[in-house]
Amino acid sequence: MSVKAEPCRRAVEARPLLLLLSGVVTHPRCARRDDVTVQLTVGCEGASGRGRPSVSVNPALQPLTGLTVIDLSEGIAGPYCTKLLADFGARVIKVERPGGDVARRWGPFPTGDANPEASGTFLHLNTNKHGIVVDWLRPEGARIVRDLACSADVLVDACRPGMLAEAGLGVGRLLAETPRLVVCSITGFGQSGPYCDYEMTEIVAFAMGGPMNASGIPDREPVKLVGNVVQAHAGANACAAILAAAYHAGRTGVGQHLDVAVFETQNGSLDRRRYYNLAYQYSSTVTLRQATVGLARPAPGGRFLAHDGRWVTTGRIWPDHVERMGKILGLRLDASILSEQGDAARAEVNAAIAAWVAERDSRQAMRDAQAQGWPVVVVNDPLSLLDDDHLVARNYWRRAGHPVAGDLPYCGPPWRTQGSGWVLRRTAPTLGQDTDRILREDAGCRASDIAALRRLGVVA
Amino acid sequence: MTEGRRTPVFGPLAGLRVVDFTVALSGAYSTMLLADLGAEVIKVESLQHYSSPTRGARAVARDADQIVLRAYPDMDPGADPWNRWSSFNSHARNKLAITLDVSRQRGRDLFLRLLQVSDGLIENNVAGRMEQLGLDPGSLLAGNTRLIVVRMPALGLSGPDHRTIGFGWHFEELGGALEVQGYPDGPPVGSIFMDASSGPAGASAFLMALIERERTGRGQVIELAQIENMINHYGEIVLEAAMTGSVPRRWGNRHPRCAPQGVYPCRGADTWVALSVRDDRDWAALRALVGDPPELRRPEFDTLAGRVAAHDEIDSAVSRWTRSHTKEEAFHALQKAGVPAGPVLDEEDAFADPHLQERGFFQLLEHQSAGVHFHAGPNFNMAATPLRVWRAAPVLGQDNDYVYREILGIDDDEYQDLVADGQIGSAYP
Repeated sequence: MSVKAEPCRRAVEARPLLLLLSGVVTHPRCARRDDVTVQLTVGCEGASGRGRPSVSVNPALQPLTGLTVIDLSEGIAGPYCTKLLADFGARVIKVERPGGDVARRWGPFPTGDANPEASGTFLHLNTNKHGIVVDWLRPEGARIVRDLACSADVLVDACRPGMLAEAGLGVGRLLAETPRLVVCSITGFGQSGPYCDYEMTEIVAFAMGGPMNASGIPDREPVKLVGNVVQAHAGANACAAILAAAYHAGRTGVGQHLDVAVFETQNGSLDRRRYYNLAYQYSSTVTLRQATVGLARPAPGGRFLAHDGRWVTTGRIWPDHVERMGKILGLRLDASILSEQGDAARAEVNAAIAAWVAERDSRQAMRDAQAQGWPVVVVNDPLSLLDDDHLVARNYWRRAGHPVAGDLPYCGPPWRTQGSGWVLRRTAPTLGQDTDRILREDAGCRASDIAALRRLGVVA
Repeated sequence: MTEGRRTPVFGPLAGLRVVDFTVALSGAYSTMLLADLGAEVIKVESLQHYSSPTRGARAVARDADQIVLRAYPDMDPGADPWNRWSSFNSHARNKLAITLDVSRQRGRDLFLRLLQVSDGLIENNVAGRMEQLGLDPGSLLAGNTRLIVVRMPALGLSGPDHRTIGFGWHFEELGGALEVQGYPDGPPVGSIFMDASSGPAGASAFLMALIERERTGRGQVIELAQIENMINHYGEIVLEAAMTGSVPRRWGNRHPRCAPQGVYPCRGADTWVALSVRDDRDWAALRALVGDPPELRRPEFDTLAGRVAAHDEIDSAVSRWTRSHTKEEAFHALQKAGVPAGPVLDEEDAFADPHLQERGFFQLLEHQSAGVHFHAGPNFNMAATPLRVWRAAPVLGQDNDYVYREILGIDDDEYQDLVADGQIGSAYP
């Protein structure tokens, strides 16, 4: 076993990251044991030979081509963050500990069989990443992560505070070895404060970050939002923080530690809590549960059944839209139907809307109302969404094959940049899929070392 | 572009200038994040076109319903409710504000001049609106090739329904979210999650283009269809629909692989603690904490499948324990036992929370019309480039003087002429 505690070797100090790249350009990387600067072609997935530049398979550069990210995170928030980076061109090396990311156990699974390679949550959140298995809680594994970090731009973790340092991967040490590195810790409660060692899950995030207290109906328990959106929102915040820090590091060579806490991204979110908090400051009142949001006042509107058996929704009617809606329905309406006294009027309006909608297919009702400036939309569910006229026309769904989960439609770009922008190059990695290649190419390990580490259970 | 800035120098984006031509919440959340990162963000509003989703109702009666008035300081909308609305003031802190009527040629020219000395433009108007105003992005970039334009129409700039209008809750329905959100045995429950999800996305889109600009020297136009970004936040549920060919079930507070999970009633009216049992270890810890009652000692409960099958029964037993504790007691006891848990916090609880206090999350700011209050700080912390919340939200047109005179170099005569023309002002006519 030849793993030694030598210092991380950097081929290039304070390389002006992101500035090197134009067209086909070589990217100096640090090598681990052989004192040779390994040349890899940026933007070319593993097609290069060592020490020689090669022509990129896809010459179109993505916005983040050239950005290398070491991702120690698991679950939702961290992986959502690094998915955004990977989908827009960053080279994300996902480091799983033996057993793999916890999201591999969460499903949904295509069959009753909980196959860790077919978990929908994992498949969705880990597109375009290279997957390696390294037990970085062991010294030999931590060594590999340090070597990867010294040629990276960003390292993302989702560890309990102190855990990285215990593994010999303390942020101070990583930054001393690689001053331009951006280390982003995405945790439930952040790096300090009385709860920093506490555990968080999606429901806890919404309960504490809010506004779960205002979500639901008054005589029942508060209810959470769909899926894992609160943690995904934290990951999206982390993405913005990382990009801003990478921009700064690219200009100055100065990296840093970012502290992203789900508790705070949710208290700061404009899913109401941010302004509910200020409203409390203003008037010392708290928000109560209400069945729907958007209007404090009573209003007509809601879901209505269309001719094709599908639903449309008007939402609760906003004051600006009352007159337009009245014109479409052939009623003379004014804002009084939104007042407390308008109960009977509201029932009459709802009946008129129901009759108008029932004469049309759902999409036609939406388009007829929209054409007159009245916001009515079709109600989708996650299945009908896959056939939604508009999304299909925009080529939103991107089908891709996976060796275990098979061919599935994945979400497309969250935003569309010029040029190649967002690309689905590869589906989520199977466990340890890229261990050998990445250890060779990025950590400079010899095949014999990898075999030894594998026997010890440090890599897999 | 660092001449005489109003915005203090801090954060990784110090020295950058972003024009905020947003309405309502989503785009404004993006520009808030950029302002928190140190960019000088200038919000452009028109005296002639009142935007109630942005500024609240233009006139609010002093005897309006409490549910309306509570959004205003001391329940008083005052003579200038647009300056006193908690929604606007919660996300506009750290921004500058000017007035300008881009629907007239003179205002449009000034807007273009401002863009020439800016790095970014963020807008979330209805698709087609910018073109209607003579502000199509091609012409914007012609005047400043380094400009980064992030356009955030709800459904994008193309496709059969791209002109669809609505608020967040419309697009959550169109995006399929509400069929799987809410009570399994009751109604779906809305949020305005699309606006929330668009905020960091718009900021990230700008920042990616900024990084690309370092390489290419050129700006670009980015299209952010908010619904497409939102769906990415629950993409695993769409994968489930595709895998199974059926509509996924509405789980409410439960989780298919973590059981029990839910909110449990605590001592006191409408007080709850949320908890998740992620695995068998959490289960053993929870069982011990609640006193290992006989009804929880069944061997089948040692497996996920057994707990899922008897979820209601387990909930009753756990609730007996939570009812005898406050939500804070239950929270700390569960967490100390290693079980993820948290109290359902309302706004009063949030301000009293010792963790947020110790981390300095809420910060005191003085607003010209609303007074002195605590505001939510930056969403995250940066060690080497600390973020700041340096001022409360601007009142209407608060920074006209600075922007027109110091950035655009407008002299006194022209300034007065622009006031007379209704471009510059601090109150709606």
